[in-house]
Amino acid sequence: MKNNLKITNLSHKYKNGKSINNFNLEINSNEVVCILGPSGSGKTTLLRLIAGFEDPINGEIKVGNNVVFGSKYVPTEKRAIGMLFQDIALFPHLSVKDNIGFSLTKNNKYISTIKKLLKKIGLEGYEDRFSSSMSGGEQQRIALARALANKPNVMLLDEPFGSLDSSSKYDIALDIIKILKKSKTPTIMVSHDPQEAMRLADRIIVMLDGYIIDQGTPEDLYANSRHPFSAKLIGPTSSFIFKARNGILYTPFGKINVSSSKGISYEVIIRPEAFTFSKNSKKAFTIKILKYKYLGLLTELEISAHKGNKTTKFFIFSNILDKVLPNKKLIFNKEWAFVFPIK
Amino acid sequence: MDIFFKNSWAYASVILSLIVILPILIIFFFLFYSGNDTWMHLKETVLASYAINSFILLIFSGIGTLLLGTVTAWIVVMYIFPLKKYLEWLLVLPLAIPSYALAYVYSDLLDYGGFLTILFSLIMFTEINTINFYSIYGAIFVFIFSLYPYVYLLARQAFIAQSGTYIEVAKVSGLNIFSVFYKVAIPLARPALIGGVILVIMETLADFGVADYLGIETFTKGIYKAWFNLGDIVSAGKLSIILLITISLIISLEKIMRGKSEFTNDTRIFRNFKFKKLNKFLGIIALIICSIPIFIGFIIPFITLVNWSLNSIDNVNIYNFLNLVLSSFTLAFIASIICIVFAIIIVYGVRTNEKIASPFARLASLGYSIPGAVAAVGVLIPLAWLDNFINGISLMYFNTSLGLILTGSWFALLFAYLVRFLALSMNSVESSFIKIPKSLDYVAKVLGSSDSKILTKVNARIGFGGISLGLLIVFVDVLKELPATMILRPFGLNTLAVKAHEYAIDERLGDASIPLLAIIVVCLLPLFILAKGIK
Repeated sequence: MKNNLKITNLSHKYKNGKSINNFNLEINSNEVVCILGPSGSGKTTLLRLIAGFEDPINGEIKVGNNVVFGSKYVPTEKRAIGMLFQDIALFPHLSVKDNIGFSLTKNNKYISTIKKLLKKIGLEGYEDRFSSSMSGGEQQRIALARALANKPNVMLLDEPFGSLDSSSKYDIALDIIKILKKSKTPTIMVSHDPQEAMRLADRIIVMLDGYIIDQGTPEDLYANSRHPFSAKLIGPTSSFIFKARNGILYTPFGKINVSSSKGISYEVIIRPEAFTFSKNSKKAFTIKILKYKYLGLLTELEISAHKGNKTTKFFIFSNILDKVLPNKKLIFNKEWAFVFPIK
Repeated sequence: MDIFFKNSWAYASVILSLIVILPILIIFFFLFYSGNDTWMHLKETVLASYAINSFILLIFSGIGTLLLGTVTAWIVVMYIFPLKKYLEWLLVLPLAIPSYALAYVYSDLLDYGGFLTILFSLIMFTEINTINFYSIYGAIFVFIFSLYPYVYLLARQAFIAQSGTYIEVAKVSGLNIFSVFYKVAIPLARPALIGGVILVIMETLADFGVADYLGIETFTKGIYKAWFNLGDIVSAGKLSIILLITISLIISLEKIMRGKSEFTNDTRIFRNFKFKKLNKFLGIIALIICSIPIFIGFIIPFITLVNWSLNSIDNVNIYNFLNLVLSSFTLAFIASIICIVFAIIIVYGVRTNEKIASPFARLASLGYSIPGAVAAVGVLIPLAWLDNFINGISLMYFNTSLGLILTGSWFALLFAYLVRFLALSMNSVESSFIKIPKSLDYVAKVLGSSDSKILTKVNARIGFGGISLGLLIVFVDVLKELPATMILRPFGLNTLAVKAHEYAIDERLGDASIPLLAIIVVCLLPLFILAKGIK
């Protein structure tokens, strides 16, 4: 059976007016896709629709080779789905063994299957423990083993690392993702944390108000953001608004050509990578630094704008600060500036 | 079709809720039913006294329990004084003694030659022959001392939940402890206090035993008399609808009052009260204040009943008594099983699909605010109609009269218990299910479990404590129940409560004491569980 997930034109509407609109997605086995978005963007609803906890108003969901919603309706319990939750949700009245074996038939392979799964997640010998005696990370691994025991065609991760200690969060998360990839289970995780998405996912889908507004690999999304919200969400930026004059935006860092006619305003979102330093480059422009604030990896510069008494604040990487301060020069690389017309 | 089955538990919940709502709805039909001669007669002669007496009872019982419950709760929450940790849970014990038992005990102790009459004569250096307890004042006294724990429990919980920050703010603002009490603690605890008083009012309006024994004409007694003495279902229904509307108004009033003000602990950091240790003198005053209701509400009646039972133990026919215990326990056991099964299905139905099942479940849970007598009338009407229908068919086709198959049966009585006590078991099941994260259901579901399997393998197992408690609470309430049992019991069926009441009415208080003690001992069980929580 081909392990993949295909969602076509999926729509859903809540009573409060919030909705998911014409959502399309295809995930292959071995792929981890992260749905990234703020609260209320519809990302958790999407997981609930795939799992069958909610019913879409139209569209089709195909898990493996089977349609589970659309021309056919398959109830949750028959969809062969694995799911991890933020609150982990191990059954408190059952031991590790019985938690993992929840979906298994108690035959002569029962114990050996559980042992194999425990070995897979690196928790051999935990069979008779209860969730109360384990750390959050251990509990989440047990939850993973429990989900894998059901041989899922697709794995849904509902912010499962949110409750873990920040110190060990990524170690545990990367371990879990590694196991899922090894088992060739297509995985969708939802998160509101861009760092988590960048570190764990092969592909990121950015959702806002029920729509996909951007998607791509982490590198692609960072370098080629296609929506102001995703540009700001995915990494550090400085944001400005300029009005076009004769198809040109006159920024304090240089001119940017735009294709529109006169009078339209644009939001220009600039990553810190846009600013570099080279003492003798002809492209360098001179700046009058009024203030600067060191923020670790980044430094916020406040310079006087080239016209009037206005000032401009933006981020540069701190590693060029010791050269920029004495020389008062910067090079502006336009390819790291994303320009969006304001409608 | 699959989507329909997906919601099968929710639909089952709706159907079961409707079964329970039906008798309540039927009572409402009497609103539009023109009265007959009996009703007109009742209206002209006794209706006013039913209304006035019920009103006086609910007002004074409400005020009395509010004062007693709030003050005792405040003392045990705020201060450290001798025996505090025992008094904290001893204060709930009066709930174990049915109100009518308190009425039997005090009417005797205050009668001619009664222990308390003699005691008062000695204290006041004057001869007192008798203190007339057979009055509305006697009933108010009984209700205050048997029902104040409802207010006490809720007030105590509310005071504990109040952040110490509020009290500290009030104190640094210059308020003394009395001002803190009525300007800060009481307003913050108001929803809980009103909730407690509403429970007291419900119990007062639902009472039959006290009113019947002390000879006070109330609505519940009127309903019983209209059906039993006058055989008039229309008058019983009319009285029931008046009582039901009064209760609905009280509940609505409470909701409106609660709706206008939000009472939440809005301080960022919750801090417990800093208990204040009372000096020796004030400590003893606190001890006395908290001991009085325990003595009046539990110790004196319990000792009196034990004393009576020891004196009359020789009269007891052990075979008859065991029969009585067996029938009472069987009835209570079956009723509690039915209630808990209904409660589990309804609550679980709501859990699987709140949108479909919740409105009906809310209506079904209103039953506890409906007096037993009203529930009995509500059950009686559709069953009588069904009986007549079956009888008609039998006469038409077989020329044989089957008599009353359902009306005078266990079925009718159990149905009335279900209407009246379902809310208790629902509360218990709901409060245990609500603690189970919904994600456990989701996990079980994605792992291939059906809703039935999730209920049996997850919810029922984790919520087993709540289910057992629900079972026990309904069990003891059925044991204590009087009016519905007296109206609907099958011929020859006696319960401990009914027998005790019959003995008491015949002034055979000694004989009444043994079944009463049996009830009290069983009633103590859930209270000990509650007390464990308090400790």
